[in-house]
Amino acid sequence: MRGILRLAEGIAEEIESLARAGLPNEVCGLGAGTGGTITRLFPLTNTAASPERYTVDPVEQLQAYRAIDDDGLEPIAVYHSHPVTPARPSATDIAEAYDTGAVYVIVSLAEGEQVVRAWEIRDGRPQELIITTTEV
Amino acid sequence: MAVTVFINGKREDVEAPVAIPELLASKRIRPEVSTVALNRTFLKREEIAGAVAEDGDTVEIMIQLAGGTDAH
Repeated sequence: MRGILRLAEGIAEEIESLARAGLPNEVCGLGAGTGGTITRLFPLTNTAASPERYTVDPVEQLQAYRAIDDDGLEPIAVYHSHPVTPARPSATDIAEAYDTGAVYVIVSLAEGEQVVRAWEIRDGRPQELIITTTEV
Repeated sequence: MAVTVFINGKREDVEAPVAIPELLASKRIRPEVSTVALNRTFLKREEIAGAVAEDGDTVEIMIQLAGGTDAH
């Protein structure tokens, strides 16, 4: 059975907007909230500054997690963009999915694609989650 | 007698004391793709092997976030 990722209204649009603002490079960040629903995004710097890669500085990563905790939220997902390819995990995404407990949200800006999709990646196998939108 | 552990921001408690390498191994976290802070101080890679968290300590583990688009 497929799992579910809940987004507050406007979050998917916000991820897409951040992705467009970051073009031509990939963007990345964290989604946090309460009760399993993402209500707020915490953008992170893509230190790779590349259209085909994203990497995160661990100090900034830690600061984001602390900010999430300070605000009484919980980290729920990691998001990144694919500027010209579909919103499914690439071979690189799968190989570098070191956090096996994470939910990965991918936004694609490629023409004709479903824009935002969510995945769990366990033992090299991506499993798509159903995204639902929730009023908060 | 507990250590507070945050793994990519997710909190849990583990029994104290705990050696950091054992903690990473128990969570199946590869040291080469992680960064560890003990009581808000980052550990150098060479310090991890001998580091131990005691009762009341906080361990923050950042598992590397990375990925990318395949060549096209």
